[in-house]
Amino acid sequence: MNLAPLPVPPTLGASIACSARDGVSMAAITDFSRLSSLAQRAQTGDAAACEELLQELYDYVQSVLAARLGRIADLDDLVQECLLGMHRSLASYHPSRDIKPWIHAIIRYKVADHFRALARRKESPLHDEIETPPAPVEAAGHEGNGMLSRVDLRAIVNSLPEPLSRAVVLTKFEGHSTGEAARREGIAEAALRKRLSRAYGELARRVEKQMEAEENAS
Amino acid sequence: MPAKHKNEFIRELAAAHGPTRALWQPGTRAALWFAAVLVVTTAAMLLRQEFRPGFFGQLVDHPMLLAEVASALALTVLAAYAALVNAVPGARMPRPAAAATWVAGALFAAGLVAEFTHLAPESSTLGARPHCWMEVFIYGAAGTWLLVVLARRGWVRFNWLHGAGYGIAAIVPSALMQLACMYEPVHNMVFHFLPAVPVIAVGYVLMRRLARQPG
Repeated sequence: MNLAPLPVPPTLGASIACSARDGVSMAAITDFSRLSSLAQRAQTGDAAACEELLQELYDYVQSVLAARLGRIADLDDLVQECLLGMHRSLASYHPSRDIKPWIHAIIRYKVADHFRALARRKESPLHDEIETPPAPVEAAGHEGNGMLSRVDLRAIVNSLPEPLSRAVVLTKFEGHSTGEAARREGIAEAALRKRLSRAYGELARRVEKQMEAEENAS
Repeated sequence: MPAKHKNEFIRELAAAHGPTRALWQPGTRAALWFAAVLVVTTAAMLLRQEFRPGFFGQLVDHPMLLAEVASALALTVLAAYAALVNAVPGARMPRPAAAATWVAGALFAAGLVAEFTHLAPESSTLGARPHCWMEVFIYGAAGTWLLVVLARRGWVRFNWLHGAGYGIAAIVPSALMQLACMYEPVHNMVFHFLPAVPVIAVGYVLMRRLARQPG
């Protein structure tokens, strides 16, 4: 399956630009039965199988995340978080089950956790996380009609209740400090922080839900 | 965590790798959990005091009592199954099982209400146990704890419904107490089922805590 090359705008964050320079293979992994077999061997303690599994998963997870989220500042961090999660919870994969839903569920969990973590960070404004326009791309490994749209964060932020949406826009898009944003909103800084926390919790939930719905549909 | 180079990251992870046995399927674990809780709770209750005299005959003669106890036990095993499925990434509860859980829950709730209007066995103090509420609480908490132990080997994600499922384990002793202790609707509600409510809350809180731990 040939994949359209992902657009690499010059404003990309360092991590993904580095990945592109390294020539990360975006080739699709369609042989999930091989991944399943590697996972079974890894469960027996076979370190070589574990290394091979992680190698294959790394590229796969990276391509899925790039396809779903587009330009994000912490792509490599997020890929490694996903891989760590998969390694730690290898026992939860049962050989009689398809491995693909297991992989994609962990990716969803980690993406949701990533957005929750953003709320706790003052740096890393949200516009670094947004790829515009959110064009549909074919995520690696999704055969047939597996066209998955990018998660349109801007649309999700806009769909939040207005006070929450404004808190995110002021602090993460327009780059105001929480103090400045609170003054503009006419509320205490603590109240604004609470709104931001609620907004990111809701954002994480909606992103996870959207990814799950689209994966089920594909 | 700053990203490491891909190969270095993978080498480190693979070097720290050891054997890890695949978890049994959620259905198998739920069945084992239920069997263990049922046997241990029954044994603990029998050690303390005999079951109500003639309870088996009442089960045969009063289908409503049988339906109430059976629906409560079915609800516990299905709720445990839902909680364990939720802890497996990518797993989904089959629709028939999900529907059966709601049906069992509805039957159980209807049975609790029907006790007051269509009394199954005659009200009596026969078989009264002095501290039945405490037994319900202690055995129920033990069942919930065991379920949490089983679930935490997976990857628990927060879900309020499944969180309540951890606590619904608490109604195994409540259901058995309907046969072991005196049968009187108000007593049943206050001393057999009400003590399960704090355990349901504890199960919910435990799930929230588990869900915060990264997999």
